[in-house]
Amino acid sequence: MENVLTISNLDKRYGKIHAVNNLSIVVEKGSVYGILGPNGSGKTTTLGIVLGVVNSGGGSFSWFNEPNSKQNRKRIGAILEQPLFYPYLSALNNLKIVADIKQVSYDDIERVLKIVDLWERKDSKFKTFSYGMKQRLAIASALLGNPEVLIFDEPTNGLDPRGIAEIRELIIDIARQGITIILASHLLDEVQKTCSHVVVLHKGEKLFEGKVEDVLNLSNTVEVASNNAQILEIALNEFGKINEMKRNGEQFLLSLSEGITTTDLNTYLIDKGIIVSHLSVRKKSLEEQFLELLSE
Amino acid sequence: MIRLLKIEFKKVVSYKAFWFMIGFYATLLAIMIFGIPGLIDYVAEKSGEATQFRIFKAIVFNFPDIWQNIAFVASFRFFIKIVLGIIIIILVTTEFHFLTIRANIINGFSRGDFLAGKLMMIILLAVFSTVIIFLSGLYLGFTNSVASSMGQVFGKMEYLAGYFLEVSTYLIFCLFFAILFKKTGITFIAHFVYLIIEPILDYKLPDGFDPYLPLNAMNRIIQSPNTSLIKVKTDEFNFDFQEFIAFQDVAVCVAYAGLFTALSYFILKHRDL
Repeated sequence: MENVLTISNLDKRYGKIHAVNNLSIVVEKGSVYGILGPNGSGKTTTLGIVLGVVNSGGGSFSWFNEPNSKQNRKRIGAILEQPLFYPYLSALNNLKIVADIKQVSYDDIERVLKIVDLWERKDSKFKTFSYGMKQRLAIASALLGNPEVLIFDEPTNGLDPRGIAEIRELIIDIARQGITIILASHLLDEVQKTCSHVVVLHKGEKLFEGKVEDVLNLSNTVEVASNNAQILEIALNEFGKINEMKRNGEQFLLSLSEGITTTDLNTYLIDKGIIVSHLSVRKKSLEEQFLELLSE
Repeated sequence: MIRLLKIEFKKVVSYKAFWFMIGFYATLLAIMIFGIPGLIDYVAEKSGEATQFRIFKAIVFNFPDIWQNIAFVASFRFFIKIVLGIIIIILVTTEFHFLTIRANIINGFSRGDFLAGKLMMIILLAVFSTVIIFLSGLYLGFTNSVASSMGQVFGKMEYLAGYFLEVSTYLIFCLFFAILFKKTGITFIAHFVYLIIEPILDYKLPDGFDPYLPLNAMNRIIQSPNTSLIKVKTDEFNFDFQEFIAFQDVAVCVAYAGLFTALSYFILKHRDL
């Protein structure tokens, strides 16, 4: 797999605050890479460093396996924190400046403004826009010139529910075209629904890195119940392939050993002559998983 | 470089404050340039010694001395040059205020590109200002000057080049202040405080230092004009007037332009935006 972004031992301090602590991550081409973490966990600082606006305090990073240069940044579309435009210029003139800096044709401006539904307002000054429109213009600006990588830092900030849904669909749509996306967010739902890979940051340190499904499968809870709870309890105790068992009324909550599926459990219980009245896997949400990771 | 200038120009194309300041500057210059001959006539009439003032006027606006006189007045330390400085300070500090410098870098500018764009804008403003001075000089000269041979009209043009250097260096000085302080208001205050402090510093320092203070160095390029009117030296009036632009003054000025550019780059390079 080709690496789009490689970060090695990145470090940044703001006085006493260790904003990024020895961080190493690799973003592969074509992935939708989520950076998770509470406010102040170093997400934006990390992105600021790889986008050239914040100086790193140590370590290195590389885009497209190439030495750092402004040319690399022209292949990236990014939104960092908030929409940044000249307030006294129209949407169109703002995007012309972006196109000039990126050295791409003006022809693409119409396309990106139509994607975010701002073409009708192209001649309005940026300062007359609502926050949601500003955010959409930022997304249009990031899309300009078909970049190979998109970086979205809190892309749905300030959008209404419909806007959030639209942006999420847009991200999934872009990902389908094979464009790599790096998405920083503290909105877990957003990441769960759109990302393939995830890194969890806390106080600048990496807590977890891997596929989203791996995070979700870290420890699933199995619920099981039968008409005779006492017999079921004895049988479960004899099963042995259970890490943890809790009784919750008539139900038992189990954490199965690695490699053991609910099919294995059910087959075992049938052999013992026990018919279950309830058997289900409760998937933890990314949020529960995330809070668990942070509390460790 | 032309690409950078085009981008800078796009940034101001519908920026009302910028065009207002440019208009204000042009109006001030026009009032000054077209008002002065009228003012001299007015004073001449009131004073009752009209002839002397007419002679003065003819000498001041005479080719080629007019170039030195007009450049001297336009580059005066506490005068309209400051309007251009304010324009540069506004252009740079708004980029910090709206964080658009950050957007520029993310989109593919290097920090050097950002600085180079602003330097191009400075050169453009300095050229604009020099051209206005040149056109005004032609107008005032042809309407008032006795001498009008080609050699006389285009003599002493080095004072226009000197004016260009002086204004450019002053604007680079303003650019440095804007990058250092980032906030519009603070930069204005720092700039005006420095305008006042430097003469005090000049006074306190030993004599040899005054050509080397930044604003002094700029102002020394074009000094009190030596027109035929005041060439006369008497015992009571023994003062050296400028007859040519000294190489040393130009060198100090260029060195300051280089120094302020380098310092600006250094600050930009090492700052988190």
